[in-house]
Amino acid sequence: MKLERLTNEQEQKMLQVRDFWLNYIFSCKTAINKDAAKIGIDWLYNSIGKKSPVVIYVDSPMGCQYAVAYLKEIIKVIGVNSSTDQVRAQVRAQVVAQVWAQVVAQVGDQVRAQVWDQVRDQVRAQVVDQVGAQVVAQVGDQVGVEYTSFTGYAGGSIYDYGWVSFYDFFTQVGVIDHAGFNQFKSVLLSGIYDMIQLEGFCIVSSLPSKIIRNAEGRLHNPNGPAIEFADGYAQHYVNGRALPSWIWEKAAAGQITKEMFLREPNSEIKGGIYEVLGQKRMMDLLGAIEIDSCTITHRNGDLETVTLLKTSELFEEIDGQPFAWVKMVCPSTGTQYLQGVDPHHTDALTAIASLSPFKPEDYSFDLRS
Amino acid sequence: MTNNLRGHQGDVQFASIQSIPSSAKRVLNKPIALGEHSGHMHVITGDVEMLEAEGRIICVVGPDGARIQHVHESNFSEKDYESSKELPQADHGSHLLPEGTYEFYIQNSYNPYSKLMERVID
Repeated sequence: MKLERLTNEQEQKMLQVRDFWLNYIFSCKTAINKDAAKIGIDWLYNSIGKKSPVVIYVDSPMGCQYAVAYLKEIIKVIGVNSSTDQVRAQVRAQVVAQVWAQVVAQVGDQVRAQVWDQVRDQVRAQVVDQVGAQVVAQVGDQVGVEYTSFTGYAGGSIYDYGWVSFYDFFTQVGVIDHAGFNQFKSVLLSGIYDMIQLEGFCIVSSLPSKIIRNAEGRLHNPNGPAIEFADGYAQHYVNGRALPSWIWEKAAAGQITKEMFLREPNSEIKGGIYEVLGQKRMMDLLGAIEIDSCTITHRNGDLETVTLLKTSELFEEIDGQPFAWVKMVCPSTGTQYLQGVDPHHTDALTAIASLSPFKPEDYSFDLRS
Repeated sequence: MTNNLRGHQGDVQFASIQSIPSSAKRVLNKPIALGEHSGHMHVITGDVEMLEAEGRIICVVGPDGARIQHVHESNFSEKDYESSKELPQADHGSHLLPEGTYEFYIQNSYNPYSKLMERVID
């Protein structure tokens, strides 16, 4: 009889499996287990009829690129062949196809779709799309032409977390028990981030030591690298967009000037500067004039003065609008805060209320701190 | 029960609500907002149940009341969720909430490049 509906316990298990795979990378606490990695890598190579490779462990995907370059130089092997395509094809044929067939035979469409959606899609979106694909694209850009020969994105890396989490759930609830899948899962659980799989050599990168994301799960850190590896290799992102590290370096050194900002032709870089500097420094950089000010009498008797400020200049990359902020004072610390607001606002009360769920006429508090 | 109570603690705002969304599910009590680098967090402690509904955070406060507090993670442990006793304050003062149902919001900031409201990060 097919599994047509998940029990409450199985639904909980679904979320646990999803969170396990997400946490495996995002906790940044998973060290590589070299013994387990070697067993797994040997299995992958042997499954495509290749001899077990020499495994070289590095800390980052860029470290993998350096290792390939050294190998080519030191060993002077001409035409080092990649085994990645063969490994992926083998895994697809011998593992994925078989476990898929088993799940289709034993699980109804609705449950399959539910688990696909809540486990596989979510893990894939957060791990593969928002981290893996981004990082590999940046490494490719930084390495250049040489990269096209020796890419990562190996069979047996974080790029497999999505589909593996799907079948992991069905393994854990007893629907399938496939030896090849269990062995493949062990490869991932040895702590491998990615590999460059060559004939005779396999270069393995560890998982990141730091990942910072925004609320939408995109790589994002206005204060430094958004992803870092133990060897110091790092990438910088704002809201999932990779940006050059000089933005952060110059911001920290106080070297971003108004002229530099105005002259910058790339609107993504300007957006990055905006995020990295933050509201106050942006306002200080560009200068702003007071448009409106109001004093709110809160329901607890507090008086709060809120000010709407805008730049006198208009900026093409934001549809010919000025930058706009509201300024308010924290009642606990006395610190002045600036928050960005839609530049179409013309009064301070409407502007500050727009940052909250309250209408302007309801923007008054009983409790404030 | 207190109707129409509204509050603001740092970048967290809250208001009493009349009904709980049907899709709301009980979750374990956890920080309402976490500072990204400061180690600060907004927590609600005491006689309270936390629910989530499509990203919304809703708290049902019982007759013994609950306290919304701004604390540093080093001054907080899981057992502190059980009591409305005031803990060492980080930046913002705490508030004792009377019995009722409240929804919590994180203040937004407008990004002119994405033209989206983004959550304020401490």
